[in-house]
Amino acid sequence: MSAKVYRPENWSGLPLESESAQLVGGRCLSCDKVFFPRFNACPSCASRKPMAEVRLSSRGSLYSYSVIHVNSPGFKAPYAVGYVDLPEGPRVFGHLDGWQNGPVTLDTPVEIYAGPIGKGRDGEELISVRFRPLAAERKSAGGA
Amino acid sequence: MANLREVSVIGVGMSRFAKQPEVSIVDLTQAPILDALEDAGVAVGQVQAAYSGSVFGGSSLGQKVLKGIGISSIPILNLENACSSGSSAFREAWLGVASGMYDVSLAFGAEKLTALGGGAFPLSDDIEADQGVLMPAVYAMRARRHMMEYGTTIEQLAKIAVKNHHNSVHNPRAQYQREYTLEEVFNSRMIADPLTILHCCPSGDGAAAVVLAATECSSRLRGKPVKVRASVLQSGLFKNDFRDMTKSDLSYRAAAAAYEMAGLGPEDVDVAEVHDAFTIGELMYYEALGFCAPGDGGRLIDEGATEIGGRIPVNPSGGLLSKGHPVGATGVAQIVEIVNQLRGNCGPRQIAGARIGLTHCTGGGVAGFDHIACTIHLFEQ
Repeated sequence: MSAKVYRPENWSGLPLESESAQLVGGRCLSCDKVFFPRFNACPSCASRKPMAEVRLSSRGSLYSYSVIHVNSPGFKAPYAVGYVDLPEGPRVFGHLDGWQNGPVTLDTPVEIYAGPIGKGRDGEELISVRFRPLAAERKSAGGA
Repeated sequence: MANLREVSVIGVGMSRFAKQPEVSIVDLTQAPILDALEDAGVAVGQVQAAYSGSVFGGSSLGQKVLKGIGISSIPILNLENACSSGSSAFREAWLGVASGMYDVSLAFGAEKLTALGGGAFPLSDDIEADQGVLMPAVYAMRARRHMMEYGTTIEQLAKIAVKNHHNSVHNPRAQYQREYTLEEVFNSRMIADPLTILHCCPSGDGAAAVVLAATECSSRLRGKPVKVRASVLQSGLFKNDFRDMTKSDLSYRAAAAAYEMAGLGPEDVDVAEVHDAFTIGELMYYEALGFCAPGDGGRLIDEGATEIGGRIPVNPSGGLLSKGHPVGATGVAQIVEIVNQLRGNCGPRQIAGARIGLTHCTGGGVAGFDHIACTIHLFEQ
């Protein structure tokens, strides 16, 4: 089965091979604000200096999520999506594990890793951001 | 602010909102425009500028629609602004007259969603849409957070669907026209947890049109004028980091601007059409529009305050949830309802003595935004 990484420039390491791959954001060299993903110009101060790459934390806090029960192009239901806030500031969108075991508590800490999220519109397995709840971690690791 | 002339809506028209795949978007849109012109007593030759709002209607829709009903060679603007496309077209039509550039203008909105095959509103060219987010899931995430922070319940949200379906029974233009019980809302198909399909507006086709004129000219025209007291268009504030998803900052900002422009407050509003694409949306916008305090939306519903006959009736037309949401047509259709309410033309769903009406239309799913656009209009009879 072929697989590809969604926007590989957003990762350090090799997300297909390593669970230790980390998200990479950008720090504005003029105003110091951190963004994910990187932008061509700073959305905060409009500086055009190329952003410095910054490795983002692998842990964050689950702000909210929803389990989607309808298929959409490339994504087979049910699947859960959510937002996680990182200590560096950015809020990251990704797919959530662990919801099959019952409701996941909001504000719970999650681990961020690269994993399959569905098939893209071209039918290839897509690797991107996934969240694994830490507080809800159970013996049978009900994740991806 | 610049010296703006007072503008009135003098004619309104709208199609039935429904799945009507057999009708072309041009045919669907011409009839309500002609109805609005007839209502206004305005001949096609008197329309000095026209504004067409649509998301999926394709290029040059305005000219395609208008050429067959005797309107061409005037300024025509084709406008896309997500769910606020129609209301943004109205806002430009208002500005054209308020500025003194024109005396009479036309705004319409049109959409044929059955041409897209149905399902959730398609998002595209976006980092989150690429990864499988859907609009119902965005609202579902807001709902889950609102429930956690304020104790809002799924029953309170479901009551909004029940209310709006109850209202549309008396609206012959509405897509649904039947009552639903709380149990039916709970037991309908799950779309994006915790929202079942009856928490979501349907997909369909429709068009709506209004004729505007300078109030100083409107006495010479036949249509019964309803004054535009405020017209506000704002766009979302981009944020890459924390956002409180229980508060629509864009709608709060637009509401404050609209009330200031009109010199009115939420307590003055007698009837409102609010963007209820999802039940949680209506509840959050109660708070943004100042109909209750932040976090108190659930209590407002429990009190029955937003029912017809309540303190601040919301969506007597049935709203997007029941009247339907042909995206580009929605904002104009809201204005049609409010004008009809203020003229006292709404029959069994009439709000008695309504004098001040409000329309609120917001939408667009792009990563980093609450929504891309929001329009709020205030009207006075």
